[in-house]
Parts: sequence; structure tokens; C-alpha cells
Amino acid sequence: MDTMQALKVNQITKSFRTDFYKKPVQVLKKISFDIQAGRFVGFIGPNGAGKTTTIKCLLEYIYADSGTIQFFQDNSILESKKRIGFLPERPYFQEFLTGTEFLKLHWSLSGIQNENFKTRSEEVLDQVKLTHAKDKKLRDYSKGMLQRIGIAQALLARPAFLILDEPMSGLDPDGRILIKDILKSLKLQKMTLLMSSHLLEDVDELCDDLIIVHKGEALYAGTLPKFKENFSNLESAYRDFKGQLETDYNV
Amino acid sequence: MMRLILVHTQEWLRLKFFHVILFLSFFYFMMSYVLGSLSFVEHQRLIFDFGLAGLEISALFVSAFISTHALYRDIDRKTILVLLARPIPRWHLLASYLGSLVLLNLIMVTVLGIVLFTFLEKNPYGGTLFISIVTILIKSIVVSSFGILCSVLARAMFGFVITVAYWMMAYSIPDLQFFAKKIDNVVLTFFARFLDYVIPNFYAFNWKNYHFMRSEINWNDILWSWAHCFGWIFCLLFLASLFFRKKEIV
Repeated sequence: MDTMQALKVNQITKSFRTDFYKKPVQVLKKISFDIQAGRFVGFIGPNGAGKTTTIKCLLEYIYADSGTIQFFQDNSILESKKRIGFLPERPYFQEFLTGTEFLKLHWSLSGIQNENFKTRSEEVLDQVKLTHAKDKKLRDYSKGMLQRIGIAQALLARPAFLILDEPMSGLDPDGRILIKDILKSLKLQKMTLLMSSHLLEDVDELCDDLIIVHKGEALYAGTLPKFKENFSNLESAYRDFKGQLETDYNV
Repeated sequence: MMRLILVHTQEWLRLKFFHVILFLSFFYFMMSYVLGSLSFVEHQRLIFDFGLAGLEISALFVSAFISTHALYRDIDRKTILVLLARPIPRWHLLASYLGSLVLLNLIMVTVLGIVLFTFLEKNPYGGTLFISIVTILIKSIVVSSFGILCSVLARAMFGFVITVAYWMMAYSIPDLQFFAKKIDNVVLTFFARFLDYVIPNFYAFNWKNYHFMRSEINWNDILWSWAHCFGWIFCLLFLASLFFRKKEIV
């Protein structure tokens, strides 16, 4: 197994001011975790726990108040973004574009020069099983197809690190199965994945490691088998973990 | 970036707002043509004055509305998250908005300009009319740059109002200076002078009228005015990029 560090998050904090005259609310409280290359990591926690905020900090959509983030050994996020693929939760894609045109847009933004677009786009379209719909307008795509073309754009530049925010959210069972199959094939290719999700069953099936965030703190960051050591599945382990948490927090 | 510019332009060409403005401009042109036909001696004057004013107002509304709403829309729909996940500096996105607005205004000004030329039978002032239309286009780019700066700093609708006010101020500085001089008020004089530094002076090249059409072209004035506008475009875009670098995309 490759043990190179793909991401190191060290004590990041983030506060937001909801109103000019109000006190800032601390959303992230010294979150720290590491991700090793080639691992699939599930990022779970209740709504408002800070999952999306952490992802936004990782990609510098927002800036952490303190702490450090480093992808691989890169010095800048711009450098790292050449190796990162990202799909946010339910984004809007330009519906007047066809699948191929959409990928062409992202290809041009990725600045790839040493590869042929046609070959690569056909490869990723095949990978996400959308070859038949490549010339269809995105407005004619189903929700599952849009999610898959989203994954295709994230995979286009051959990233070493993939970040998916709720990739299964709102999908029907068939759509979920297809996305899971795609992710499983990526696992075989030794890709590193950080996947935020509410679906414990999917995380259990796909991930090697687990990060649990709660109220802006990373309460668990380690391997998934260790977390569910004495339980039959992730859900039971999570139930137990949450029970203990509620006792600790005196909820 | 060229592809991003084309995609934005394609998207904005589909906006209902753009279609409404285009329709209103046609309507305005038709009105000026009808009014011109009713007049015996001022036929051309009416078409020039009304037509060019209509053209500038249309360009203003399209530029101000789209430039202040583009970023907001992209943030709201999370499109920006996908775009900025690519290894591009953030200012590329703002530059692509401006590029698309240039293209959009170019399309609109060309279509409306052709209509205007068609309405003016036996027009002896084609060259000056062309310069006037190009100047309107350049002014619309200044307004767009200001709108983009506003979109980085303020909410979309507030930015739109400020941008329209900015355009109005850009035409009012000489009047304000004249007024301040007349009433001999130190504060107002200082304020007028301050505005002269922070707002471009559109009044100095207000060529969208019949009087200008009939006068001789002074290339020095024209080139100076275009350079003045391009200077402002650069400054505004630079400022917008500076603020956008640290803007939090929540």
C-alpha cells in the first residue's frame, strides 16, 4: 500500500459572522486529520457539523482563520488543484451544453496539453457510462446522469485526489448503484478519495478510513475497521458512538 | 478562458432580461422612426438622438444588470465551485465575465446599430455614427467593469443600483462642478473635484447626438476618450480582482 501523505489538515479553525453586529460563530474548532494516498475516506457527521465548510477550506473557497492545509507536498493550492478533482453537492451545470461540450469546457480550464481531449473524454464518459448520452444536452439528463457527468468532469484531468460532497444525495437506487460501481473502479486504480456523506451504508461499503465531525470538531479520524471493531456494521458502531457522545456532552 | 467566455455569453444570450431589453430598444427605435417621419425637417435628428440614446441606455442596463448578477448567480448555483476547482487564478473568472459582457454588448450594439443604419436613408454621417456606436460600446465596458467590482463587494441588486448611479454620475460631473462654482460652496467644490478623480468623465465624449454627427471628427479627442475608458476598465478590473482574491465563497 502506498503510504505517501495525500492531505494533512492541521488544527484549522473557522468562524463566520452571521451579522455585522453579532458575535462570530465558530464553525470549525481546530480540526486535524491526515489522509494517506490511495485510501478512500468517508467524511461523516450530522447536518451543520462542518463537513462542507472543511471541504471549502481545503479548496480555498473560504479561508481558515488558523491552521494549515497541505495536499501532497505542494506549496500552493493552485499547484494542488492540478491533482484534485472535485464535485460539490448538487451543482448547476450549464444545461444548454452537451455532455462533450461540458467536458471540453473543463478540459480547457484544466490546461492539459499533453493529452488528446477526444480520447480522454471518451475514456471518462465510458468510465461513468455516459457514452450514449455524450451528444445530448445536459437539460435532457436525469439527476443520476448529471451526477455522473459531474464525476466525469472531476476525473477528466486524471486527478490523484478526488473530493466528493454528498455524491449519492437525492439519487434513486439505480443511480446510487452506478455511482458506487464507478467509485469501486476508482478504488482499484488506487485513487485517493474524500467523500462526505450521510449514507452510512455507502461509506461502510466503499471506505477504508473514517472521519467523524461533530459541532466543528473531528471526533474520530482513523480506519473504518477499527471504528466498527465490535459491531456488525458502521451504522451500529455509529449509533453506539453517538450514544456515548450524548452522554459525554450531557445532551 | 475563451471557452468560458463563450459559455457565459451563450448563457446570457438566453436570459429573458436580455430579450426584454432588446425588444424595448427595437420599440424605442420604431418610435423614433415614426416620430422622425412625422417631422418635416428634423427627421434625421430625431432618429440619431433617440436612437443613440436608446442604444446607450440598453447597453447600460444589460451591462449593469448582468455584471452585478453574474457572480451572485454562479455562487448561488454552485457553478463557481466547479469552475474554481480548476487550476486557474480567481481573476480569470472575473475577466471571463468581462469578456462575455464585451461580446454580449457587441452583439447587441451591432444588431441595433444595423437597425439604426437601416432607418437612416441617405445617411451622410456613417463614419461619425460608427464612432459614436463604438464609444457607446466602450462606455458599456466601463460600466460592466464597475458592475463586476460591485458584485464582488455587495449584493446583486444593491450593486445594480450603485452601478446605474455611477453611470449617471459619470455624466453629471461637469454640471456638478459648474453648480459648485456658481454657489461658491467649498464642500461641494471639493466633492465635485473628488468625484472627478474617482469616476470617469463620460460627459466629455457624449457623442450620441446629431450635433456631433454633423461636426468634424477630431481623432485626438476620440483616441483620448477611448484611452481614458480603457484606463478605467483596467483600474476597475484590477481592484475587483484584488478584492475577489480574498472573497469567501460561502
